[in-house]
Amino acid sequence: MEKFDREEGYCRMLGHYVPFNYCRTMKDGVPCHRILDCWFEKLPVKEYLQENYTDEEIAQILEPPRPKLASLIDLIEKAKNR
Amino acid sequence: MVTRVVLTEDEMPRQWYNLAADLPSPMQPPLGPDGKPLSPEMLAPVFPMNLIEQEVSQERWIDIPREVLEILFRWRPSPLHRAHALEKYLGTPARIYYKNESVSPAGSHKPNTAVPQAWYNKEFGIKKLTTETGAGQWGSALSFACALLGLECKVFMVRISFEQKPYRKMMMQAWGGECIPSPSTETNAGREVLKLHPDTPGSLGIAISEAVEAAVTDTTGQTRYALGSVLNHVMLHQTIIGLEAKKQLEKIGEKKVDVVIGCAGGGSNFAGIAFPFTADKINGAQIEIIPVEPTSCPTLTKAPFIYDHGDVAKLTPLLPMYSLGHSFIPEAIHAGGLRYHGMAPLVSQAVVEGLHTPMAIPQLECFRAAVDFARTEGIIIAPETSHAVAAAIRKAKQAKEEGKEKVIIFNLSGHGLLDLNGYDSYFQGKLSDHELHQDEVDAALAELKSLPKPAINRTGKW
Repeated sequence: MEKFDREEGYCRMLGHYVPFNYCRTMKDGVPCHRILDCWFEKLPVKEYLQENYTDEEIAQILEPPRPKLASLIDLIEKAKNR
Repeated sequence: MVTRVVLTEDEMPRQWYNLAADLPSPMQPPLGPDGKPLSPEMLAPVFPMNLIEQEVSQERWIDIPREVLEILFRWRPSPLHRAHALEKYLGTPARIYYKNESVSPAGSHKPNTAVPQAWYNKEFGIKKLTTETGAGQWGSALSFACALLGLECKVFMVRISFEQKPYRKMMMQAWGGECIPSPSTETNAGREVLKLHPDTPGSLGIAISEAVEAAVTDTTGQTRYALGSVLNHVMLHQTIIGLEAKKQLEKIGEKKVDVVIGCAGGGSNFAGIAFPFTADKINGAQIEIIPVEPTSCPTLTKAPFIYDHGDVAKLTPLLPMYSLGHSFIPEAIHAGGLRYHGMAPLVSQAVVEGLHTPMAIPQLECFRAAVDFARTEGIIIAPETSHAVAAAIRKAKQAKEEGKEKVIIFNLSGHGLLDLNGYDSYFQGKLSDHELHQDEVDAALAELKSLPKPAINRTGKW
């Protein structure tokens, strides 16, 4: 999939276009949870995930973000513990 | 022929409207992982108590502080436009109005809450606000507000956006906001990431962690965090939109409104236009109030009202909401602000009551509407706003078929001048539609069977 790294797609979270490389590595080196959502129409992303990650890892990768309100309490606790 | 209805500063509303006071059925409380309701104090490390009090307030009207009004006057009251050209193009007997929130200095409705949030923080003794931003719409709105109120503002902007999307970063800098790329070396969260991935382009998740940590760990206690959507007090501040619109419609001689429309993302711009009209509906007015969502992420039109976690790991509190489930992954669309998988609780409860009747529209229809709007009314709107325009066009066409002179109003929540790539994709034929089928909905919901079901508080009047 590296050959597609310069392909550009719109990131709805950030609000601008990013290279595919960002989507493939943005979460501590693993793909963004929306990689399938954003790229499935253009690139063989599903196959890429299946070739490189276990089913369990794919499930973790594709986990959607928490709503901000719900995540705040968790973030506060994490910040206190750092 | 009146095209633009303006109010004087004296005519601008002096109070925000709190729908929570009038909802015929009570809101379900948010629950923690232990199943017990969350307490407001749990948010105290990131929000000042005066805003938390607004968050839980049941008062119908809340005074807008004089100092806040004086800042809002710089662009408010915002104009109400009569869409004569669009009406003519559609050949509709309907009268279409739009409330133009793109006239704010930051180009959207966001400053309506950025300014009061900054002011209440200042009143509480806070000297500095932190937040996160991607392309920078909320970060620029908060920087603007802090500049006018003399607060420091630190915006953690996702590094790739910081490097690739300079315009709103420049706006923040122009307003005196400290915009730094995330991850940064200023927080433990940022340092941990940089230690493992020094070349990381960052993410919103990291930026949020940094913004919250910067607020929570300030030993002076003079830093807090600000959020631009979802929460009740954010929607409260946005009701200035609908309250002004009601006065403007009255001023132009409209005695009855038939349809009120807003795009339904985190809820704040829809709430802003809709809640004041919802009060009229509660008191007997016949108004159709429509939150519009994309067909690819139809939380209000196809999802049930349940308690749901915000995450697959089920670590976050249970919230009562319309939801397709925490593992639901919607298909690709370009209107990023509309992609929350759950809806703000106040809007959810109004839908449960039947006060709001949601509508889902495919993205191609939305972009067609945006282009029609640009070529008739002249304004290039944000992709999110295109959902409201598309719904207004649908209702105007319906009025034409029925031969009815309906009055339709929608919220033009922001311009799209910094979001033109979405238009480019549309023109190049790169966009497609996806409608969620019932079997997909059923599959997403199957795992939710074990979660507690909120009581359906509904009077049955609507």
